[in-house]
Amino acid sequence: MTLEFHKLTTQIDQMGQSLANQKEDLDSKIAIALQIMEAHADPAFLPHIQERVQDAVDKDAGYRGARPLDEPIMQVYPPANLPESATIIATDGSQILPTTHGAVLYYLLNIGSIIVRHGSGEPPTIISQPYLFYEKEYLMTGDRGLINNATISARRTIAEMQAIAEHGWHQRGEARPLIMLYDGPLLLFPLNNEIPDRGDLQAIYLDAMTRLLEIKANLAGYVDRPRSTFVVALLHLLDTPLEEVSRSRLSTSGRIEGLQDIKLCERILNPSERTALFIQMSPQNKDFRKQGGDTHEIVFFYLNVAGPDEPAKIARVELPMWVANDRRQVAETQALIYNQCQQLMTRYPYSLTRADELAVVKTEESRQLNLLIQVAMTRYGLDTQESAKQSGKNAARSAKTRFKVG
Amino acid sequence: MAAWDEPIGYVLRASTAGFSIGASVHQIDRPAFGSVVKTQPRGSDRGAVYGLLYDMHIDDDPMVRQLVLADAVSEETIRDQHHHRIVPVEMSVLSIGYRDFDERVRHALPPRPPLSLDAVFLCSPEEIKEATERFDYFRLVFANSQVPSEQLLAANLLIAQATLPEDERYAYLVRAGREAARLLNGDMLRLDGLLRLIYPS
Repeated sequence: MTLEFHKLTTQIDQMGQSLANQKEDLDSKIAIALQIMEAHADPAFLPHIQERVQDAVDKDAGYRGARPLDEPIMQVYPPANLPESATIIATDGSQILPTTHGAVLYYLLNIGSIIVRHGSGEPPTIISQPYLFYEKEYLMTGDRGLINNATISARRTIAEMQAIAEHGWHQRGEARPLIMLYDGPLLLFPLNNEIPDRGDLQAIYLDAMTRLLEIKANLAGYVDRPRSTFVVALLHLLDTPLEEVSRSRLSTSGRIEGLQDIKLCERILNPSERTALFIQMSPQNKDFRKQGGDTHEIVFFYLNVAGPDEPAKIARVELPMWVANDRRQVAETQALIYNQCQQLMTRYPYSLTRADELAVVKTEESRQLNLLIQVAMTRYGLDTQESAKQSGKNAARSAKTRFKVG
Repeated sequence: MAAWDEPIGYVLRASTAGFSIGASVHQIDRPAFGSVVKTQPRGSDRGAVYGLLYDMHIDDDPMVRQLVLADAVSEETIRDQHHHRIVPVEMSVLSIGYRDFDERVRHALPPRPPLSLDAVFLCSPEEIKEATERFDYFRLVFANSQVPSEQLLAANLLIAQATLPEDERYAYLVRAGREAARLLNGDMLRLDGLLRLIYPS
C-alpha cells in the first residue's frame, strides 16, 4: 500500500466542507431556475421559447441547450399502462486495450446482449460475442502509430449499435413494442481528428439506426445520473434579454451557472413521470439530421425511475425523432424502461445490467486470454516474452503469498 | 429417460469422506435431503462412490440481493437468473460406500475420492435397495460430526423403505431401528430422536 491515508484526512475534511457550501448555493439556484421555468410554463409560451432558441442559433451564439419539441417545458407526463407483451433488447460492450508491453499487440471487443420477451414468462435469450483484432490495419494509424484508446472506444460504440440493429432485425416479427435499449447517449461523442476512420464509423452507426427505423423499433439511449445542463442552458437563454444574446453571454449559465438539469427534475417529477421532450441543439445532432435525415435527429426526456415513495432518481432517455413523433410509442417506451428499473433496487434497467454483465471482461478472463494467445504463439515458434516493464509490474502487483517451510 | 439416468450435477470438491456437487437451479427438483447418490466415473476403472445427500446450499451475489429487495421482479427476470446466471447451488454428500472389484457395494470410505467434474446421479430403486439393505453405513453417519446424523439417517431410511414392497417396509424400519439402538446405546436422546422420525405415522 502506497497511499498514505493519514496525510489525506485534512484534505478530505476540507472537501466535505466545500461540498456542503456548494449545496447551499445550489438550493438558491434551483429556486431561481424553477421561477424562470414557471414563468414560461404556459403552453402559450411555447412558440416564443422556440423563437428564442432559433434566434440564438441564427446569431451563432454557441447555444448548446435544449429546444422544446412541442410540449410545454414544465409539463410532466405519466407512462402508458405497461404493455402486456413486448420485446426488449439491450446491448453493452467492453474491451481489452492493446498494450505495447504485452507479448503480442491486439485488442478485443466483447459485446453482450439480452433479449427479454416481456410478459411471456420465458427466460431471456443471452448473447456474448467477442471480436479479436490483431491485424495491422486495425492496430495502426495511417502514419504507422498505434491506434489510441479513443478510436477503440469509438469502434466499440459502433459495434454495440450494429449488434442491437442485428438482434432487432432478427426479432422484428416478435411481440411489439420492440424496445432497443442502448447504454449511454445516442448522439455519438464528437468524432474528432483523434479517430482516423471517424467518417466511416459515423456512417456505419447511422446505417444501423436506419435498419432500426425500417423495422419501426423504439430505439432508446439510457443515460444514468446525467450531468447535462441542456434545460438549464435553455432557462438561462430565456432569462437573458433578447438583445443581449451573444456567444460570450451564453458561454455560462449566468445566475444559475453550475446547476444540472437533474436537480430541477428531482423537484418536478414524481416516480415514473417524464419531462417534456426536448431536442439537444448541438453540432452532432445537426450532423445526425443532415446525414440520417429528420428521422435520425435525437430527442430526449428526463425520467424519474425511483420506486414509489423513494427519493427521486433521474435518468435521461434519448430517442430518435421517428420514435418521438409517435407519443404512444414514447409512453410505452417510458413504461417499459420504468418497469425495467423496478427490477433492481439500484433502479437501473435490469436488461442493461445483464448486458453489461455479459459484456464485461474480468481481469482473470483477460489473463487467461493472454495465456491462450501465448500458447498459440509458442506452437508457431513465436517469441512470447512480455517487456521487462510489464513483468516487473506483474510481479509488484500480484498477491503476496506467505513463504512456508515444510 | 429415467430420473436416475441424468446427472443431478458434477463434483466440485471431494475427499474420501465426502464430496460437494455443483448444479444449476433447474437440476435441483429431483434430489432431496437423505437421497442416495453416486458418482459414476466414465471411461475409467474407478468404481462408483455412494453417498447420502445431507445439505443443499444456494449462495447469493450482489445482483440477487438487489432483486430480493425490489418488489416488482418479473417472471422473465427470475427465469433469467435461474437459467442463465450461475446461481451456485451446492449440494454436500457424505460417502457411505463404494463399489468394489467384486461388484459389491462396501460400506466403507472409498479408497480414492471422486474427481472434480465427475457426474453425480441419483440411485435407482434397485441401487438404493442394494446400498441400504445392510446397515453398516450407519457407523459412518453417526461418526461424522459435520452432518445432522439422526435427521439424515431418518430421511434416508424413509426413502429406502419406499423402494421395498409394502409388506416389507415395517420390518425393514424395525431392523434399522434395532441397529441404530445397538450403535447409540449410550446416547438415548439421539436414539429417541431418530426413532421418532422413522416411526410409521
